[in-house]
Amino acid sequence: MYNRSITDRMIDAANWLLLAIVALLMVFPFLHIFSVSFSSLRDVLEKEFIMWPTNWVTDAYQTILASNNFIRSLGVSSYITIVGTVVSLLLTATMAYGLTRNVTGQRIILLLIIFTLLFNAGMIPTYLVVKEVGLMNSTWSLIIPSAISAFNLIVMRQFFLSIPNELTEAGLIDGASELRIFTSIMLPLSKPSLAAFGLFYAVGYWNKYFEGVLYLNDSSKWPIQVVLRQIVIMNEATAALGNEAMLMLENPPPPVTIQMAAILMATLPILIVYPFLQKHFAKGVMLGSVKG
Amino acid sequence: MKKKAYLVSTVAAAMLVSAACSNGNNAGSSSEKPSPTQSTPAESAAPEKVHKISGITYIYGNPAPNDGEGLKKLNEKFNVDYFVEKVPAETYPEKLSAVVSSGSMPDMIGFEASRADNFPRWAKQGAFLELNDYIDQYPSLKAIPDELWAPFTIDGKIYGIPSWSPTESSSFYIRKDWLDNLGLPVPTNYEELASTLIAFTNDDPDKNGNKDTYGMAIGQNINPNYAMGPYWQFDSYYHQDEKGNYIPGMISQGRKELIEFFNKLYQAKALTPDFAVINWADTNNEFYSSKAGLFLVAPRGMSQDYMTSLLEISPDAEFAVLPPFLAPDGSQGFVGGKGYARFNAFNAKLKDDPEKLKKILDMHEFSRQFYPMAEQNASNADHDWFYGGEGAGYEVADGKRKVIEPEKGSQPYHYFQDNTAWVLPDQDPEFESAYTEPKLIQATTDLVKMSKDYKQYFQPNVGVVSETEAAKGAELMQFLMNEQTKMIVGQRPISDWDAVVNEYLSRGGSQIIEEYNAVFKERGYTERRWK
Repeated sequence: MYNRSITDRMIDAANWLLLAIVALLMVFPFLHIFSVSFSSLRDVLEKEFIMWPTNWVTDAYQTILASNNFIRSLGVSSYITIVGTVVSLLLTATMAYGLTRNVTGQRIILLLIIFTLLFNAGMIPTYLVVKEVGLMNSTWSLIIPSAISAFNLIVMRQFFLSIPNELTEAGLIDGASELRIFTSIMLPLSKPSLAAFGLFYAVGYWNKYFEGVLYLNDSSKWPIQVVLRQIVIMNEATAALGNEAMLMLENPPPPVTIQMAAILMATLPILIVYPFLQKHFAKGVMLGSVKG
Repeated sequence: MKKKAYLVSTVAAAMLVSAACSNGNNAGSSSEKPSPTQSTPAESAAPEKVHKISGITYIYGNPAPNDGEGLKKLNEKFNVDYFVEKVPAETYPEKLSAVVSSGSMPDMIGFEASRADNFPRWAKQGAFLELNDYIDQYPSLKAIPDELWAPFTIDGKIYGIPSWSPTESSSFYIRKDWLDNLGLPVPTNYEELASTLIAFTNDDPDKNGNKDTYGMAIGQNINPNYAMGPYWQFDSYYHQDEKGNYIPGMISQGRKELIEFFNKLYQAKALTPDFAVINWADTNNEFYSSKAGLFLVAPRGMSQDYMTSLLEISPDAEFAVLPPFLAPDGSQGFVGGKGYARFNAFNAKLKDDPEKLKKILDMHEFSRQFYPMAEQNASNADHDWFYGGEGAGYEVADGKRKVIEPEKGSQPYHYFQDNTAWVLPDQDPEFESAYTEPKLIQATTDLVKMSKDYKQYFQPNVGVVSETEAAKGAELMQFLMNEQTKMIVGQRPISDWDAVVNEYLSRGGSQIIEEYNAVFKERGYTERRWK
């Protein structure tokens, strides 16, 4: 280690402090939601702002867990997220790799892909396509129409292009087939990019809302975001309307404690994924693979 | 034009290709199932005479499961294959557009009254069944007053059936215990109300020695609107311009007076601080945490959880419901409730299948029955069945029906297209039966009684759809709300009122007024109606 000057250290300390504060700011809302969800409605009303529950109550969670709806939709979302991410990564990686090789029509295919980045068909045409191919009311309707993100595909293709050609050639010399090169050389080298795009896809699938409403007729297949919004939304919707419509509803919305508990339960699972994938981002992979 | 069409078809083709490709990639591994609920509406299984009936409507909150015991009971009782899709209310208009555009419109279609812009258009295109001939055959339809058919009548043809909602008005309740502590009477006009609310702010009405209370709870978009009659109501057509046209309350003299009133309270710090950015939930909290002394009270939909919490915080809280104020033009009374909140239309194709149509209307009639509290038990067989049977679907405690585990769906009522009872004018909807907290029951009873003591204004704008309103209405409303909020907080002088109104009129407001008044004339609404 080289000797560091005092200014260096001070800058480091300031940096560290600043980042810590920013990190804390990110934790703040979560802590608030957490605390409200474990407080009684009375405490929430009485205190200006809750940072930690004074009297721990689990009423809100009992209410949520009492209905199968919530748990089932968590299951649905987990399924969509896991299957969807695998499908998406598989399709994106194979297509991106394919487009790095000399395939006839490569340019046209690329152009078509870029085209979808700029224009999309809109809700009703997409709905019609989903309906006509028979995906209606299937959880696959949340996966297949958005299985490949054009943006991710192009970035991943760029990533494959950045892998030195010598590696492919070395594989070929050793008698590997194209498939073998892809699975044994390219994929292992792309772990960081797979982890990054996997995370993007996973979060995307976990947050699916509109497609759930649009394509699923059976409420038992609703993903968590739909169920969650049905618990939380009424306040926002009527605030936007600017009238008293909400008070004339047949049923008043659930108290804020239940809403916060629902938000927390719907956010935690996807939040937990982050630390597991994070380690892959940091690893440099290509180091030392090509000499000379 | 041509270029655009080409683009669209290219995109559609590209999408089809990619969808087909991805589909192929997954063949074998997928668990794709064909949709069980999608069917062509007119299709029915003739041999067994089991009609397949489909519907779509919106829901707030989460629906009962589709495999609930209640749905099986429903199918058995009526010998049908019945399924109503309940779509989250928030995105319902989009979903409905997609479903209708795809050509698979179900037999029954629900609409939310406040978001039914598509209804008249689709009706004119012949999508819906004309109902005129069937109304006399069903008592619950016959009971619907003429003016409530108006919103669904296009060129003399009725295309929709309203579901009941209260005609009773909402009002505002004030902390009676605070009034008593300060020796003040219940205010009867805006001057008294202002001085009372300022006293709530300065004179420690809860006698705890701290200055921790204030007058009224109010939030963004000047909500609640604190209109003590149609003269001040922002979303009613009550005032008339010099040509005799009705104008929206938002730009009326009454609203201007109300804004001046708010401005006075704002200067005295007697309304919610930062109200311009406080959302509805937080506005609620201001009152139910015993900080503010005045808030909205409605005949139904009040949250007992919040009331219970308020009474824990402030056990001596008492409430007085404010009566309507005497307006400068001599009127006194609130704007009546709309009388319907949702309505249903039916697929025009049902005309070809009278047997199925009869079944649908019979079921509609059944699920719209009203059961007075005395019959909300096993003594009424229909009620008992509708709520899943006493002991299994509901239990009766203190004479009140309590549904057991509604999220399991063992009660048939969940599954009907329209499960709102139609309450006849001479029947008592018994709003208070929804609550167990005595003080909330008291407030509700007082409110209903007050509704009966005064005439209510029947506003002409119920169920009017105007094209300009649909296109620009929301934006213009937001513009007015923003400018009026600025006036309350003193960022813009109230003397700018006419300038703001003129801007509203020139940006499309006069078009909206014209379109509304054309409908009023068509419906024969000239004189203001009070009932």
